[in-house]
Amino acid sequence: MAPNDQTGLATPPPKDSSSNFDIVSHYNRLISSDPSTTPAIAAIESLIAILSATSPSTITETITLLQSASTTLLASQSNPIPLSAGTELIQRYIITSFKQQPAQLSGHDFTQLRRQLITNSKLFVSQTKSARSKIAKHALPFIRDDSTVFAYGSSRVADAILSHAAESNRYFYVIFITSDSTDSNEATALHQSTKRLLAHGIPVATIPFPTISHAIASLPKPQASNVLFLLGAEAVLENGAAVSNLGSHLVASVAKANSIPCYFAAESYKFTRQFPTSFGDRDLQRMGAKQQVLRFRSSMDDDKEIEWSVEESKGGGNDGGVDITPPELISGLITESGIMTCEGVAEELIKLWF
Amino acid sequence: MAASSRTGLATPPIEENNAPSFDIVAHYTRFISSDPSITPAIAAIESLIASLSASSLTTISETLALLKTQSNTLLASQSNPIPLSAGTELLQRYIITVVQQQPTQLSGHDFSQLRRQLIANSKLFVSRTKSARSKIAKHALPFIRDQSTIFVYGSSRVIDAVLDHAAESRRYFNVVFISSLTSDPIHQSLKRLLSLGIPVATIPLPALSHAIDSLDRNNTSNVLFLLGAEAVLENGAAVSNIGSRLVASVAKTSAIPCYFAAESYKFTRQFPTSFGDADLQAMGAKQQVLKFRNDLDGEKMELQVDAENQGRGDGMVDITPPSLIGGLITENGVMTAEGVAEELIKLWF
Repeated sequence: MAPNDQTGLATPPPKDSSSNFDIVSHYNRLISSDPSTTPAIAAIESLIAILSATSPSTITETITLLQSASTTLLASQSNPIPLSAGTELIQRYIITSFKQQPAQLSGHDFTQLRRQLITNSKLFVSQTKSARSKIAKHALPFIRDDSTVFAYGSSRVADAILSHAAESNRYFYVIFITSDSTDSNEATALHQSTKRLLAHGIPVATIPFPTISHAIASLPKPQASNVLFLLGAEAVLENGAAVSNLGSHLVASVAKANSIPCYFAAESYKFTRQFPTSFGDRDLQRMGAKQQVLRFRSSMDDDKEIEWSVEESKGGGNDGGVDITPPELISGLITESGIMTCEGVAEELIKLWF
Repeated sequence: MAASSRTGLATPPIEENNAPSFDIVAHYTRFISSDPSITPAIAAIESLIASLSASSLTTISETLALLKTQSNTLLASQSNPIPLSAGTELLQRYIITVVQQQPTQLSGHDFSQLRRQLIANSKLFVSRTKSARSKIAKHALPFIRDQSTIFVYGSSRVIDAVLDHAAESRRYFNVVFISSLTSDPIHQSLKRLLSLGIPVATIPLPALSHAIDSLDRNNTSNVLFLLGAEAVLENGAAVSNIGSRLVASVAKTSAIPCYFAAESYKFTRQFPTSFGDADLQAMGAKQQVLKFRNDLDGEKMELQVDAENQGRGDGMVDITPPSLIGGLITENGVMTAEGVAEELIKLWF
C-alpha cells in the first residue's frame, strides 16, 4: 500500500495491525448475512469495524487508514459506485468531527474521541436503516386509488412503498416487469412481494421485459390515464442521474415516450459526488465499475466467447449489470427527507457534506 | 358443413368426399416444419393450393366456398393467425380476380382447365415470393453505409439476407444483435457475419438504452435499427415478435431511424384502431400479455415467468405503430407507412 501517492499527504504508513483486518471479506460477510443491508451501509459498517479493530492514535493515521481501507474495498468490487457513496460519507463525517477538535490531542482524549466516533457512526447506520419506512410514507400520495404502478428490478425500497400503500388501504394495480437475468434471490423476492400484495387485495400482473410497450398499450381505458413507474436506485449521482439495475434506463425512456411519470426511490446516503458527462459504458468505467455491455468481436474466437451470457456484463450488487438513467427521464426522487427533483440533489449533497 | 352460412352465398353443400378428407392444418404444419425458408403466409397459400388440387370441384362458387372454409379452419387453429391471414386473403383475392376475367358460364372441361391454370399460376406466385428476400436485400443496401452500426432484434430471415448481402457487397459495418428470448438463431447469424469479417456485438434487450449511450461518438450519426415483420397492417403498422415495439420506441427517443423489412405478401387489409392486446385479439390472435390476478391460486403461484411459454414471451407479438416506423423495405422498394395502403390497393385491384 502506498498511501502517500493516493492521499497526496506526507503520511507515515499505517500500523501493521490494519493489514491484518480483511475489510473485503468483512464487507462480503455483512452483505450476505443481513438481507436488509445495502452496499453503502455495509461499506460504512466495514469502515467502522476497521476503525474499532485497529487503534490509530492520531487524526492523520485515522484518516489515512480509512482512505486506504476504502480504496481496497472499492477496488475489490466490480461495481463500486454504491459502496463509494457510503465510504465518502463516513470519511466526510469523521473529518468534520475532527475539525471540531483542538489541533493537538492527548492520547487519552483521542481514544475517547475514537470511541465516540464509533458510537455515533453506529447510530448513523441504525438511523439509515429506518429510512425505508420514511420513504414509503413520502411516496404514499403518489400511489393514488385506481392507479397502476409498474415496478422493475427487485428493489426493497420500492417494495416497502408498495406494501405501505397496500396496508394504508389504497386500491391500486401493480405490474412487475421481469427480465431474463432474474436470479433465484430476485425470483423469491418477487414471489414474496406478489403474495404480500395479493393478500391485501391488490391485483398483480407480471410481464416479461420485451412486452413493456405492448403492456402499456394494452391497459384498459380507465387504467391508462393513471399510471406511474417506480424504480429503486443503487446510487444517485450529483446531477440527479440514477444508477440502477440494467434495464432501468430503458424503462424510464419508455415511460417518458408514453408521457408516464417515472420515480426513483433511494435513501439519501446513496447520493454520491460523482458527476457523469454521459451515460454509457465509459462513464460507468470512469466511476470504477468493471462493466462493458457493448463489446464488438471481430473474429471467430472459440465458441465459448460467441455465447452471449449475462456474466459478460456483470455488475456488482446486481448480477445483471447496471446502467445510468439520465436526470431528464426522472420525474422525481423519493428519499427519506422527502421528494426532490434531480436539480435538488446537488443541494442535498451540499447539505450533507458541508 | 354449413358453407352457406359462412359465405353468405346460396351454395350447395360441399360434397362429402371433398372436404373432410383434406386436413389443411396438418398440411400447413408440415410445410412450416419441413421448409426452413418458408413463412406462415406462404405456407398458408401453399396449403390452400394443395386443398384445391385435392378437391374435385366443378364450379366457381364451390371453389370459392372451399377456399373460404379451409382458410377459416386454418386461421382458427393458430394462436397468431395474422401473418397467415395475409396469405389466405391474397390467394383468395387472386383467384377471384382470375375468375372474374372468365365468362360467367363455363363448361365442365373449361373449368378443369381453369382450375389447373389457377393452380399452376399460384405455384408460380409462391416461387416468385420466395425470391423476394434477395430483392429486399438489394433495396436495403443503400441504407447500410460504410462505418454504420446496425441494431438488429430477434431472428429474422429477411434481415439475415439483408446483412449477408451487405457484407458480401464489401460494405464495412458493425452489427449489434439485441437478443430476444431464443438466442440460438442469433448464434448462427453471429457466426456467419463474423466469418464475413463484420464485427458483431450482442446485448440483452434491457441494455439497449445503455448500449446506445455507449456507442463511440463518431458512430452515433450513422446508426440504424433493422427489424423484420411478420405482417404489415393497412395503416403501415408492423406486427412483429414481442419487444419490437419497445425497440422501435427507444430508437425514436434516441432519434435513430428504425426500418422494418417485409415481403409485400405480408401486407394485410386489417386496420387496427390502437395497438394493444385487445386489438391483437380483434384480429384473431389468442394472446394476452397483461393478466391481472386477484388472488393466490393455491400454491400454483409460481412466478408467472415460467407459465405457459407466454411468461417468456415466446411466440408472442406486438404491433409497432406507423409513427415509430421510419420506412418499410419490401421487394418492390422502400415505402413509408402511408404508402402501404396504396400498395395494398395495387395488390388487390
